[in-house]
Amino acid sequence: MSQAIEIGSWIFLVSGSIFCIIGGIGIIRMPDFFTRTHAASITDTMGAGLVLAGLFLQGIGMMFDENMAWVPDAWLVPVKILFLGFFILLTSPTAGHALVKAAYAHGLCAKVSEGYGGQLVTDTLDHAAEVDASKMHVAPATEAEAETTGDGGEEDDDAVSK
Amino acid sequence: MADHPMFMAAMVGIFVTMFLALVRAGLGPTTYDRILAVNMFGTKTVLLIAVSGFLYGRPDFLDIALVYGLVNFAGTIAVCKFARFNSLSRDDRRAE
Repeated sequence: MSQAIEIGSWIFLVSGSIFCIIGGIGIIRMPDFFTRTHAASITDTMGAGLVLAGLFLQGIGMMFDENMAWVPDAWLVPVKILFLGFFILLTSPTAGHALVKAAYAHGLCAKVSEGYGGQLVTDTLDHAAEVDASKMHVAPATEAEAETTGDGGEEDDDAVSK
Repeated sequence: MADHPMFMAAMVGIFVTMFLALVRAGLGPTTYDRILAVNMFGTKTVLLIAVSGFLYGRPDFLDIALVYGLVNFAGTIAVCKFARFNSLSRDDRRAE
């Protein structure tokens, strides 16, 4: 019982740490803001979830002493870890959504690779009103399509900036 | 149980992630990159407090981690709103 808890905690904690480091590398190496949110959300879901699962197993192990007798009040520890995981899973996608929505409404464009006919625009915060919204989309195939998306996007920008 | 190496391993991984998030917060070309990195740093701080509570044999640290997680969420939302409207007292409904 105790051995199984130790092994499970090792696996969960180490794999959670590895997911955290992967997300950290991603937030350094990803090309623009919208892809960096992807890397950050990995650390919030898999990283935090696996580390908290490892701690939850340890908390289960702390509920019993060596003779498998019930330790009073030790049940609070895994319950608190469940609350912690619940709040992280509730708040981190909400914060990420609000962040991306604020960035998009402010005129931040996605960085599109050249092979898809896009253009590299990373920082448009200072002139959000004159953003060409056709650059926000991956492939403006024809000029007509680019114009229609551009018109719609500019109206959106005006509505937001008022 | 107090000084188990697996908690040290988890703390090392979390420290490395916090350092990488700080690098992005320093580099980040836009304001939103910095907010994202600081939000990620705060989530990692919650994990670090929880793991260090187990490392020192005092799981009461989980209360602090809970409070820190909620404060981190409220702070991120407030900074988002400030970066979007340049004000914290603006009525959101008129912007939609």
